[in-house]
Amino acid sequence: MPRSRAEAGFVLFEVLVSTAVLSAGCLVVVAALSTAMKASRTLQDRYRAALAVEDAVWTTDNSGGNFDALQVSTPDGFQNADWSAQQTAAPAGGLSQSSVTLRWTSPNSTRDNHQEEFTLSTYNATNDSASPN
Amino acid sequence: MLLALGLSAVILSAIYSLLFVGARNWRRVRQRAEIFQTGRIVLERLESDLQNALVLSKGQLHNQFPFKGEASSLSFPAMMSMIDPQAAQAPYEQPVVGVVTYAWNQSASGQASSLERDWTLLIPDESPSYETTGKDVFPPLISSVTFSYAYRNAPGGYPAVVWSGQWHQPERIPGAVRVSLVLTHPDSGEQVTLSKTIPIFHGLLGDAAWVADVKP
Repeated sequence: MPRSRAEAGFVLFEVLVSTAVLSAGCLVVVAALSTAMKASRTLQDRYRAALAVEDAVWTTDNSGGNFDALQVSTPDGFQNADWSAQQTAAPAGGLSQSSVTLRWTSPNSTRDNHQEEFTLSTYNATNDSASPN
Repeated sequence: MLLALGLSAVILSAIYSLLFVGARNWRRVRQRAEIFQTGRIVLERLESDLQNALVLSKGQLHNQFPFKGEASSLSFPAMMSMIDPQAAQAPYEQPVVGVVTYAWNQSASGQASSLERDWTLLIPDESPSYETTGKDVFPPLISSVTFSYAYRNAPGGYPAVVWSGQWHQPERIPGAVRVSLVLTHPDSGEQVTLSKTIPIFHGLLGDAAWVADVKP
């Protein structure tokens, strides 16, 4: 006796389509997890970079404004780390700006050889502005 | 039927593997985030206390509670704020002076070491309605902590700022304290080192002539 439509179950084609849809959904979830993991690692690297650059700025300020790359420590695992510092002389009576930058290649980036960068600037009163008129 | 079962098994296995890998990665992310959050909390707590450090006026208290700095502990008087539960109206927070101590307590076996923060209020003659002593134990993810203190080198000396694991000038507050934390997650074994220089704006750099163990 032929079975009704309700009793017939699923045909192979229906099973394949449903599993394909399920697989696609799982792939999307895993890809999102992977992206979240990379973003999380990037943020953590930036936090460590911020700590290192803060240290470098403080050391520079307390070394007579002379940046010395040997005096700063690069966080572990930072590839191709490159320190640079820049001092912008102030016009008379203004503030001078000193900036320290750390660049590194992020192994966690979604793009190959993507360079991350963190810069911190401080402003110091020049002697002209600090002295009373 | 067999073909359908076979295909379903293959596809379901692939889905299971994908989800397993995803869940494992997610767990790793959470563990690593836990490490960083713990480190951030410890560093912020230390920064808050150190930036409120003060020197007590000359006298008995000054001699009793100087700024003591060692590689694995530091103790100093500081301005703190306590919430007074009996205060009828604002301000509910009372500024008080206390002594804060951070110490890395290494157990004999090395298994149960922990970073502890002890505080004691210096209140000579009142009976406050709030606690006058306390102890905070930081989460066990911390596997070591090292403190070092900033000294100014002699003129022309290199480097200009040197760091030592001991503060030799208890009559003054150091200009900066460098904290190096090593955090290890017990499940994954992942290790992260966080190093922060905490400037103390009203502190002074030490005199490097006092430093015996200068590390450039």
